[in-house]
Formats: sequence, C-alpha cells, structure tokens
Amino acid sequence: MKVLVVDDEPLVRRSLEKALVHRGHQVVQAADGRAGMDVWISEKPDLIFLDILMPGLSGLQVLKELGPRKTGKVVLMSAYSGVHGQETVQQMGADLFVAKPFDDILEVVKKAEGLIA
Amino acid sequence: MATPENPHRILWTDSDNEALAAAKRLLKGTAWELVTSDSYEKALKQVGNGPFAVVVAGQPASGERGLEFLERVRALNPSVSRIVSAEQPTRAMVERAINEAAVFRIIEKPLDKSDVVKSLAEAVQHHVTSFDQKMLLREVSRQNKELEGLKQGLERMVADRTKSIKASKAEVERKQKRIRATIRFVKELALTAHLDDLFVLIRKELRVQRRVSDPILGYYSPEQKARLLFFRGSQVLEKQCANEPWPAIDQVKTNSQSVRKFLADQFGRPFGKVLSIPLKQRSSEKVTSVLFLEHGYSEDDLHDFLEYVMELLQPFSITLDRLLLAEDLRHTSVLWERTFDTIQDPVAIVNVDYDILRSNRHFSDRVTYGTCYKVFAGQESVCAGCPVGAALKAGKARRGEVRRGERIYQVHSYPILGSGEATATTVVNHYVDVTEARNLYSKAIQNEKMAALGVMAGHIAHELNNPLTGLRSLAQLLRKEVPAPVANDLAEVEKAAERSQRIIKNLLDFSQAGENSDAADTVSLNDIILKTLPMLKTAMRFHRSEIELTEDDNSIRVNPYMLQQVIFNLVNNACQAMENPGSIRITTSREEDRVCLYVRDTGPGIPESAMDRIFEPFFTTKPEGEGTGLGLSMSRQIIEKFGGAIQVTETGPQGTEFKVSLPAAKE
Repeated sequence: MKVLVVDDEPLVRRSLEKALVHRGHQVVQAADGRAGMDVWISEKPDLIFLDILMPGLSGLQVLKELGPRKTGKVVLMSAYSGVHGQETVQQMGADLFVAKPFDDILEVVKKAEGLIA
Repeated sequence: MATPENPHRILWTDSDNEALAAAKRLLKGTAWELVTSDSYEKALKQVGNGPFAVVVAGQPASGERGLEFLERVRALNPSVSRIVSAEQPTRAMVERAINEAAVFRIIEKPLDKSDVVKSLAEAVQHHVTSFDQKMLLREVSRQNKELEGLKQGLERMVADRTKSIKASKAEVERKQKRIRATIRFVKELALTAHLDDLFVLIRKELRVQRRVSDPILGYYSPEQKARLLFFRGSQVLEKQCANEPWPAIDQVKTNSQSVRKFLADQFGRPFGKVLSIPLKQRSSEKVTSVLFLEHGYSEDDLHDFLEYVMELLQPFSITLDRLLLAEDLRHTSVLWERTFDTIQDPVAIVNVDYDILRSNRHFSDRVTYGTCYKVFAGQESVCAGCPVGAALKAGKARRGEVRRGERIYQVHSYPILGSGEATATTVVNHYVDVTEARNLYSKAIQNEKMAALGVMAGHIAHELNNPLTGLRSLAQLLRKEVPAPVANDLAEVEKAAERSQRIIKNLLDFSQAGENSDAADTVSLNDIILKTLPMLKTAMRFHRSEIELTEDDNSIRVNPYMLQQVIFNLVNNACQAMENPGSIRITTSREEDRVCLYVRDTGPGIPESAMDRIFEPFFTTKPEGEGTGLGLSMSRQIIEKFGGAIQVTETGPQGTEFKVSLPAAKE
C-alpha cells in the first residue's frame, strides 16, 4: 500500500520509510505540513504518519484544512503523550496516536498496518 | 513725803535762861535756825507742830524733867536727834538718857562753842540719816503692802484658774479620748489594704453607737460597676447592684425615701430610717461612694450622732479613696500587662545599655531582666543589625533585622521621648518574625526559576525528542541489516538514544508538573495508588511489597496524574535505593483532617550530608545518567501545590520512610 510520512525530522522520515519499505510498502515523504497536504491530495495514500508539532502547518491544522478531501487512515505522532488521549485523536479525525519516542519502530508499523486490515 | 529740814531747825529748851542765851550766842552765824524755849511744855507742842532736826534739852541738876521731855520727844518723832545738856551729869542720868530717851549726845555745861557746834553738826547729820532711813523704811513698807496686795490677787487668780482648769480638764480628757480614738482609727485605717478590712473597721467604730445597724457601702469598681458591700453576721459580702445603682446623693440625707426603696429592692427587706452619707473622692469630682446607715435615732439625737460619724468618716473616706484608687491602679496595670502580653510579637522596652526594663511574654517567658541581646537572641554582644542605637541617636523610629537562632526578626525600635525632651534614653522594641516571609520570598524566587526552567525543559524536550526518535528507530532498523559487530555498535547507539529519551521525559514531566495545577478532582488516594502500581511492576520486580490501604475516607483534591507522578517517583526511588532485594511498604491513613501516604523501604538510608538537599532540583545520588535529580523536587512542588507536605520521617540503616500528607477533601 501507499504510505505518506509527514515529519520535519529527517531521521524520523528515514527510519519510518526504511521500516515500511522493509514491510513491502510504497512510501512518499513530506518535510512539513504544507508539503504533506499537497502530496496527500495528489497521491491519495492509504496510510498517513502525521507529526503534530511541525513548523508552518501543524499536523492538526493539516487535518482541519483537508476536511473531506482526507483519504486513508491517519496515525498522529507527538511527544505530548499525556495530553492527547485516544478519544481526542479520533475527534481530530485521526485513527491512531503514537507517542514519541517510539520504543520499537517495528511495533509502531505493525500497529499502523492493523488499521488497514 | 516729808523731807529733811533745810536749813535745819534746832529747838533748844532749858529752864535756865542763861543757858538759852549762851546757846543763842554760840550759834550765832551758823546755818542752823535756832528756836529756844524755856518751857518743856511749850517746847513739846512746838515739836508736835514743826519739824526739827535736833532738839536740845537742858537737864537741871535736880529732878529729871529734861530727860522726861526728851523721852516724850522720842515718842513723838523718833527721827529727831536728841541732845541733853547738863552740868556734871550723873551716871544714873547718863544711863537713863541713853536707854530711855535715846539721846544722841550729852553736852556738858558750861557750854563750849566748838563742842556744841560739833555735836549739833553731828546731830543734824544723824537726823538726816535717820530720816532717810525712815523714809526708806516707809517706802519699803508701802511696797511691801502693795506686794501683799498683788500676792493676794495672784492667789485669788490662781485659785480661780485652778477651778476653771479643773472644770475643763474633764472636757479636755473627753476630747483627748476622742482624739486618741480617732488617731487609733486613722492608724488602723492606714494599715488596711483591703476594702473588706476597711469595712469591718468602720463597723467596729459604729458599733459603739448602739442605735445603728451594720453599715452598707455603695461604691464603683474599676470597671465602673455599681457594687454594694454589706455584712451578713460577721462576714463581709459583696454584690453587684441589681438593675439601677443607688440614687444620686451629693449631700447627707437623713431619711431619703428613694434610698429606702433602693435598699429594699436590693436586699429584699424593708428598711427603716436610713442615713445616706456621700463619701467624696479626691480622684473624681463626682460623689461615687455612699455609706448607708440604718438607725433608730430621733431628730435631736441624730445631730450628735452625725457629728460623731462625720469625724470618723473623714479619714474613712480618704482611706476608701486610697483603696479604690489602688484597686483601679491594679486593675489598669493588670489590663496593661495583659495587653502587653497578649501581643503575639515579642515586645520589650530597653534602655541605652540594652537592659530590659519591661518585656512581654513572647519576648521571653522566663527571664525578664538582663540585656535584650542576651535574653532574646542569646548573644554576648549587641546583635548584628540591631536598630536600637540608631533609633536613640536619631530620636526617630528605626528598624533592622536580627537573628534569633534559626529565625529572622525585623526589629522596630521606637524611641520613647518625654514631653519636651530632645533625647530619648529608652526605646520600645517590636519584633516581627519575618522568617516565613523571607522563606516565602526565596521560595517565590525559586518557583519563578522553576517555572522558567519548566518552560525551557519543555522546549528542549520537544526539540530533542524528534531527532532522538529518528536516531533510535533507524538504529533499530539498521541493526537488522548489518553484520553482527556493527549491529552491536548500533545496539549501543540505540540504548544511548533510549536513555536520552528517558531523561527528556523526566524533564518534560517536571515541566508539566507546574502546569494545569488547577485541574484538581476529588479522588481517592487509594485509587490513585492502585492505578499507579501496574506502572511500577518493572521497578518492583525484585522486591517484596506490602500494601496496606486505609478503610477510612481518603478522598483528596488533587490532579490525579500529577499525584501518580509523585507516587511513581517515591516508589521508584525506594526500589532504586535498595541494591539487594528488600521490601517496600506502602500505607495510607487518615489523620484528622489529613490523608497520608507512607512509602517505606529497607535501603541503607539517606546519607546525612544529602538530607538537606534531597528536595533540591537536579540533586541526585544516583549514578550519572540514571536520575535527573528532578523526581523529589517535582514531587514536592506537586504536593505543595495541593496544600500538602512531603517529608522524610525516618532514615537510617534500617531504611527510609517518606510521608506525604494532603488535606482531606471537604464533603
């Protein structure tokens, strides 16, 4: 499947891509919210890893602006673990929340794959 | 008064005329006036009529007629000098002349001029002398008579006086007795120190008068309460006036209807005739005390009695005045003392030498003398920062800060200036404990710092977390693609990244501890513990755990997530403190209006050197990399936010116990 990774941290994008490719997925990347939104609309990915805190548009703003044009399942990532519970994540239009840092990146990928099944 | 004759007259008598002629002849040319007579009878008449200095009588040879004559002259006028002239005087004649007639001289006939003149001159002189004597005698006897008269008058006077003295002596004795009685009364009054004693005294005095019953005294206490002092038997009783005080009495009232009614109301019995005597007090213009005397005197007797009583009442009134004044003074003094002692801050009056003149209980409850620095601060010399000297010098209030052991006091020194005095020699020191304020101030600064640190920590955490996430994830992935030696290195990279993340998480938690503190819920401490324990499974896996939760109400108002952090920190610390497997005991209890949590370990205890600092941020005893030094600091911050306290209740080789107490939630 087609996976979009939106994060301003290159190492995060790179490691997620590596893990996803390893699992046999096609990966597209975006380094900020604005670019991520453009790719999202043009590529229509099945799964999106979206960072919350980014310069320019934040992950939440991206979701808001996208509105009905949103496709695929969304995994929100943030270091603000305590603040966003599962419930609010769904209210924001996401499907899963993953706290940074990841304890095990492969676990994260597996959880995300589970959304599609 | 008769005077001696001058010129001196001489009477010469002789029956012999020849002798007379011879005498005339002889005395011719002398100063004397000579009168001659040849008849004794005539001559005697002349002596009776006129004064003569000398009488000379011739004595015939026979018979004694001349001597007889002289004897009669002597009887008539003894002061006249008498001379007898005779021819060949016989011894018998001479004897008679001297003894009977007391003649001055005997002149022998025939007359010799010089003998006659000499004799006459001497006789005249004799007369003068004897006359003077006679006069003197007369004067003396007159004076004697006068004296006698005076003496008699005096005696009469003395007798009169004695009589009147005797009469007044009784009166005097009576008065003396009364004065003595009054003096004794005054002396006794002077010794009375209590109103009751005074009252007993006046009754004793009044009892002498049989028709008066026991007195009643109305007076005002220092609190201006109208009070009555009265007797029941020999006992002095006192009571406060029910309802209104006695009617105003500004002069003696012999039988006031309103007073009788007043007393009847107060004592619940009818009163007969009542004498009301106002006792004027010097201390106040108004009459405030009144003596009530129930009596059985008639109008007439009453006057005497009143006179008697008034005499007693003057000293009585003065003593009453003194006692009431003393009581007033005592009352005021006690009031001031109490006021002084009630002031919660220490207060002392101190002189230039720093000697305490007066101090209140909060200044020192035991020692009240000595220097202020010794008594208050336990110093041997003037405290550093003492404002007393400056205040005395300036004559104005000054303040400074002194230390008393651990505590800091702000001292306000107010110089006491007498009216018109330019320099003060005493100051009032008011000590305000500013320790808490100081601590709060430094705590406020600390909090400020912590808040800033929290914000910064949050930023840093976010900035670092992202690359660390990538670093760690990439390391995890790469490890699987490379040969073993490289994979091992990557494993180290991953571990380092993980450790970094953990530190950052702590920082993040810490920074968030200060935020959202208002989001408090009423929760059960037990529930929070039970929710936190699963997270501690890893930490506690080597140790035995005992959990004892109270069944009493343990609801508190806190932010549950924050409290979880505290519990997590405490238990995690306890586990880490025990190098060897030990036991962890977690208990909760309700202690009055607090809910408490105890976390106890069997570790080696907190080193004494670390005790003071364990709650300081970034202080840690754990190996580098294992602790951030923020756990306890953050825990305290959280607990204090919710009005609680955290402390080490015990630490030693047997282990350490932390206690957290939080206010119980109000229903």
